[in-house]
Amino acid sequence: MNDITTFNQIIFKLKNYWKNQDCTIIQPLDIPVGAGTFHHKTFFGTIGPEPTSIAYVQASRRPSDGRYGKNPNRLQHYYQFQVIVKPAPNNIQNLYLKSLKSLNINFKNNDIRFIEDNWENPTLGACGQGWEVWINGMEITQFTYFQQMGGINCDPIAIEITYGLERIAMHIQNQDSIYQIIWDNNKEYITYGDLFLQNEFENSIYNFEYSNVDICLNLFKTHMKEAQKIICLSRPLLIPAYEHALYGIHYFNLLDAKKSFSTTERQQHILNIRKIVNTIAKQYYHLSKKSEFPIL
Amino acid sequence: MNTTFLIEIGTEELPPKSLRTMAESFKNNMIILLIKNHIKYDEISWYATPRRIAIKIEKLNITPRKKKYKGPSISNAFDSLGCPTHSTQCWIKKLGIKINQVSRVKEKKREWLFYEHFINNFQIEEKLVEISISSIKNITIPSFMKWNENNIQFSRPIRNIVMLLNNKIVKQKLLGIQTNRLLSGHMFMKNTKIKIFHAKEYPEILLQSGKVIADYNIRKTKIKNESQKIVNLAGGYLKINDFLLEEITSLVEWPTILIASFEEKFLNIPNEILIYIMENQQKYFSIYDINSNKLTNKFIIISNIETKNPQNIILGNEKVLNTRFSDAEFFFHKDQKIPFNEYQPLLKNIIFQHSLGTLHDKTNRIKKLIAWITQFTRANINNCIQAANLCKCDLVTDMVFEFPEMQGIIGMYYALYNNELENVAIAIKEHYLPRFSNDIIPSDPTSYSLALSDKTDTLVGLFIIGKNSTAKDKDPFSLRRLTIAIIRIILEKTISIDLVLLLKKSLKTYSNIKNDKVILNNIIRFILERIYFIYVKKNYAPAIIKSVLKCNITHPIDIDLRIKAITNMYNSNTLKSLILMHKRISKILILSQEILHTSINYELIQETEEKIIISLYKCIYKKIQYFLLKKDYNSILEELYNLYEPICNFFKKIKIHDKNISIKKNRLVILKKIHMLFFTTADFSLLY
Repeated sequence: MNDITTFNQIIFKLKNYWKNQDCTIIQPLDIPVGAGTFHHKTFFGTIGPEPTSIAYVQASRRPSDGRYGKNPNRLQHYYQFQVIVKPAPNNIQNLYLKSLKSLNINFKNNDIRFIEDNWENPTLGACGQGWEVWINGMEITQFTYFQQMGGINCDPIAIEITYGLERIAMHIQNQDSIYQIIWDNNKEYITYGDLFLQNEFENSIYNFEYSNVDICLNLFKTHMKEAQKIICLSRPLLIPAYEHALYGIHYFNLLDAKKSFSTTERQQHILNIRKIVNTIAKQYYHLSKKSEFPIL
Repeated sequence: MNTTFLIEIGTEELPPKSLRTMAESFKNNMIILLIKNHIKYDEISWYATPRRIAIKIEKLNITPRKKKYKGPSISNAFDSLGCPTHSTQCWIKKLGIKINQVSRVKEKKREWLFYEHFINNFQIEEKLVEISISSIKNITIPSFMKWNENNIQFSRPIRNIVMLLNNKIVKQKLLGIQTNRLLSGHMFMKNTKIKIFHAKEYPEILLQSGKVIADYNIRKTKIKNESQKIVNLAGGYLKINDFLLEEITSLVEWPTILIASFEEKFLNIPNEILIYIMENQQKYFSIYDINSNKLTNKFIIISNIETKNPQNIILGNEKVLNTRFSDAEFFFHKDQKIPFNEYQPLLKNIIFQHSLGTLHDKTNRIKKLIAWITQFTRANINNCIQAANLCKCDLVTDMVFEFPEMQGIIGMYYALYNNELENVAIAIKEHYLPRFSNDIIPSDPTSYSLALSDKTDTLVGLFIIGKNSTAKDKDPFSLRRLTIAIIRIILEKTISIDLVLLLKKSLKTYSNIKNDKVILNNIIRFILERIYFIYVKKNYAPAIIKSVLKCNITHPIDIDLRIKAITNMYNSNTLKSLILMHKRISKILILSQEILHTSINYELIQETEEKIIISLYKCIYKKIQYFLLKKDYNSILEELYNLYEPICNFFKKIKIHDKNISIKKNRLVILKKIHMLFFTTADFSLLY
C-alpha cells in the first residue's frame, strides 16, 4: 500500500498539472455551494470577453444527496476539482486526458468514454454542451463548453472541467467505497471515512429530518432580499450580492431536500433566484464593459 | 471513370441518440445537391462513429460535361446592319460571354445562336466543396453549440476535416479548418494520425490501422451478434431494444463485448428499476433466464476498448452498478417506511397544473369520473375507486423523484407490498398507457377505466385553462397524444360511451367553470379531428371518414362501425348503386327548391310505382330502425340497396314534375324520406 496515490496527492498532482498549463491555482469559495461552478471567479470570469484560466478545489454540498453514510459513492458533501479556461483551447480534450495520465490512469486497461451530458443550472442561468467522462462505467468528470452564464451568451466560449475527486480516488486506489479512500498516509493511514463519515451521518439526519422549514425559508428569503437590495444601490455591490444569492440557494436546497415545495412553488423560487442572478450578471457585464473589460 | 470522393468530419464525441440521423441527413443533403448539379455517381455511403461522420461517393462521373445553351434565332439575332440585337446582347450578358464565342446551330430548317462550354474537373472539385459545405450546414442537428471564437456552430466541436478526390486533397478551408489527409485512429488503442492516400481506402484503412469500425451497421451487427453469442453460452437470452442498440453503436468505435454480474440481493428491487438503470443510465444489456424468463444478475457491457485483461473493466462496471443499485435500494426502503396509502395527503403539495389544483384535487375528480365510467366499462366500482385513490401516490415517493420514468410502476409495486388487490396495483401502473403511438393499451377493466378517467380529466382541464395550443405543429401539452390514447382505449376495449356525456361529466367535476358549452364544443371538435386522422393513418378513405363524421355523432364505437361498414362495401356494386341513387335523389331535391311537408299524403298517390316505393319504404324504414338499435350498419346498407331497383323503376316510369304541384310535392316528400334514410349511416354526398 506504500505506493498508493492518496486523495491529497491527487489534488496536488492536478493542481500541479494545471499550473503547468498556465492556470492560476486559487482557493475554494468559503460559502456552501452545490458545485464548483458557483465560485465567483467562475461565475464572473466566464462572462465577458477577457481570458481566464484558473483551477481550484471546491467543497460542494447537495443536501438531498445525503445517504446517512450508507451509500458507497453518494455524499451530501464532497470535493470537486474545477478548471476554467476561456477561450477554450482547441486541444482541450487532449489536455484533459493528459491530466488523467498525470494521475497514472492507464488508458490501455480501462474503458474511458465521453458520454453526452448537456449541463444546465437553472438557478445560475447557465448551460453548456458537454460530456460526462466515464471510466469503466463510472462518471469521474464533467466536461462542458459553457454556452451561457447568468443568462448571458458566453463569447468567447469557456471550457469547464469538473473532476469528481472521490470517484477518481476510488478508481486509482481501487476502493469499493468512498469511506475507504486513503486521504493521507503520514504516520498512519487516514481514510475519508475517518474524516467525514460522522459528518455525512449527522448532516443526512439534519437535512432530511431536523432542518426547520420555517427557519430555512426565512433565511432563504432574507438572503435573497439582501441580494436584491445591494444590486439596486447607486454603486451596486455585485460580489456581495452574488454571495447572498449563494447563501439563499443553499437554504433553497435544504428546503428541497425536505420536499417542502410544491412543483410550482419550487419553479417560482427558481425563477426568482435566476432573475436576481441574471441582474447581477448583466450589471457586471455592463460595468466591466464601461471600464473596457479589466481582467478580474 | 473510377473517381472516388471522400469527406470525413472529425469531431469530439457526437450525441449518440442523434448520430445516425445526422449522418443520414448529411448523405441525403449530398444526394439532393449532387442531383441538382447533374453530378452522377454509382454509390454513396455514410459512415459514423462517436468521433466522425463521413460520406464516400464512388464512381463519380467527372468526364468533362458539355453544357449547351440555345440563343435567339438568327433572324432575331442581328439587326439590318449585322449588329447584335438587344435580345442577343441580353443572352450573352446572361451567360457572361462575348459574341465571338458564339456559334450557330441548325434545327428544323431554322438556325439559332448557340453556345456550349465544358464543365471540367477543376470545376467539379469546386462544386464538391460547395456541395459539401452546404450539406454540412444543413445537417439535422437537435442542438447546436459553439466552441471557439470563429462562431461556427455544430453539434459538437469539429477538429478535423479530410477531403479527398481520389488521391488528391481537395484543398479548402471550411468550417475554420484546413482540409487534409490525416484520419484519427481510436483515441486509446491507436492514438495516431493515419495518412489516407486514396479516398477508396476509406473505411478499410481505419479498420486496419486505426482500430475503428467506421461502418455503423457493421458495428451494430457485431454488437448484437456477439452479445447474443456470449449470453447464449451463459444460458440466458437478451431482449434487445433497437433504440438502446443504436445508442450503444453510437458510443463506441471498437466494440468489445464483456459479461459481468451484480449482487444477487438486488434482484429484490422492482426489476423495472434495475433494467432502467442498466439500460438507460449505464448502457448495458440486461440478461434473462432462458427457463424462467426472469431477470438474472448478469449483464453485458459494450466496452470501447480491447484489452489483454478486461477484468479491470468488468470489475469497475460491476462496482458502479452495485452502488447505483444500492442507491435504489436506499430509496426503496425509505419509501416503504410509510404505508402506501398514507402518501395521498402529500399529493396536496404537488400542483397538477396551474389553477387546476393539486394532484390531490385531481385524484378527487378522477374518483368521481371513474365511478360514472364503470357503468360503461363494467369494471368493479370499488376496485376502480381504490385504484383512483392510489394512482398518483407514487409521485411523492423518493423512488419516482429519483427515477421519474418509473411513475406507475413504482406505484404498482408499493401497492402490492401493501396488500392491495392485484388489479388495483396493475391499474396504477397501466393507467399511463398508451404513452405513445403503437404503445400497448391497458388490458384490465379497472386499468382502462382509470386510464380513461385520468386522461379525460387532463384533457378537459387543459382546455379549461386554454392550453389547447392552436399552433399547427406544436403540441406542448401532448393533447393530441392524449386524445388519441382516449379514442384508442374506447375503440379497442369497445366501450360504448358517448364523448359528449363523458366530457360533460368531467367538466362537472371541475368547479367554477365559465363558458363550459364553448369549452365542450372546442374539445369535441378537437377530438373529432383526431378521430379523422386516426382513420386516415389506418388507411381508411378520407371521404368515408368525413361522410360519417358529418353526421354529428360523438360516439366513437358508432363512428367506427359506420366507417367500417361503408369501407367493407368500398368498390362494391352495392355501394356504387347506393351512391348513384343518393346522387339522383339529391339532385332532384336540390333543384326543386320546394318547401316540403313532413308526411306523405296518400290521397295524392297515382301510380303503381309510387305505391310500390311507399310500401317498400315503410318496410325498410322499420327494419332500419331495428338495425340502428343494434348499430348494424352493414344490414342498413343492404336494406337501402333493396330500394335501388324500385327507385330506378320509379324514375323510369314516373315524372316527378307533375303539372299538379301537390302531386309533385308529394313525390318529392317520398324521395326526401328515402334520402333521410341514408343519414342513418353517413352523409353520402361526401362519397361521390
